[in-house]
Amino acid sequence: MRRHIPLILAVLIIMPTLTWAAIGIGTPCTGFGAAASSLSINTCTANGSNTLVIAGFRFYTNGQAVTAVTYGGVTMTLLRAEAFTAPDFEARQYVLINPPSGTQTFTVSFDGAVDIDAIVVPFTGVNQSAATGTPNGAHGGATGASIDLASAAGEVVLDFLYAFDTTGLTIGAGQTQQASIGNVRASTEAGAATTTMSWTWTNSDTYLMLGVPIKPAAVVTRRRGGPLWLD
Amino acid sequence: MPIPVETTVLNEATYAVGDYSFLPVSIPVGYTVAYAKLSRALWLDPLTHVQWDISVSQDSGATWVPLASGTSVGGISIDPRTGIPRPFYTVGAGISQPDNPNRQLKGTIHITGGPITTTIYAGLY
Repeated sequence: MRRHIPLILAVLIIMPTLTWAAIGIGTPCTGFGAAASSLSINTCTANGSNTLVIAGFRFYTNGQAVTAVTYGGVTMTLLRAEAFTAPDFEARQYVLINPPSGTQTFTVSFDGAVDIDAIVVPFTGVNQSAATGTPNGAHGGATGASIDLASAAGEVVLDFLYAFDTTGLTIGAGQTQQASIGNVRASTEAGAATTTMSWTWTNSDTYLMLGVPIKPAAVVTRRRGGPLWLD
Repeated sequence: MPIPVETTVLNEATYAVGDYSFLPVSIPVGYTVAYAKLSRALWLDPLTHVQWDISVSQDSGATWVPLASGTSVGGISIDPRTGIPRPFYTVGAGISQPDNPNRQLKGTIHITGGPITTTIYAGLY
């Protein structure tokens, strides 16, 4: 006869717990060029762990195309582009996961002369295997712009706005402006199931807007577990 | 926001192939963007090429760090918004430490492919 004797052992075991890192936002770098075939900004930094940089820029074009976008000499990946015609101008958003640390140069090159405004925003605490969610964008002519992004608590949503006429430019509720150069702005907002990024301005005019959710790194912590039951 | 300022740092002239630098320009407190530009009106040869390199100092010129650079070629460059030629080739960038009274700006243009006739400016806003 087998006896089952419940034995409570006060054994403390190590149990892993999965949490999410807080996403940190570093100091952006900004630059601009007029009638330029390339622009390099030499003061960009991305220090810390689980880093990510996202670059946003707009350019006026007479058919000129982007030929290269690099950060620290590493080619960045296009997330999304929004284009407008007559006049032709375009906004693009690029990402680089785990960029070179320290002070680096961001460069964008074209096959001809354009006017460009660019902002690069660095982040820490970002998921290195699934860094970004689905980007979104919009363009048109109005006195405001708005895009919705599918996100989640713990994420951060980044947007870039280009507004032809920035008179009375007002940032949307809950957003924090991170950088400004020329007619381009970058802002962030804490993620939610649907995060709306928006801007308004006074005079109806053309705009381009891009946004992307940024996902936090998973952090495995260990804690003392409860009692272990053994048969 | 400070009033935008701009100054001529190299007078209109025909510059042969080579490097040309302008002396450091003080950056008053409050300015957050610096740029350098050159006029395109007499820079018509598309075979000529210019690279801008601008640098900033936070310690009255004791040390310098690169701020921004860019390239462009001569010839007419049409602004699609206006349909008229762009008058300048400009490169600029955001500058940190707006409360620092010891900031300075300097720049160098590298001309290749032939001489260009232009005027060179530096500006802040």
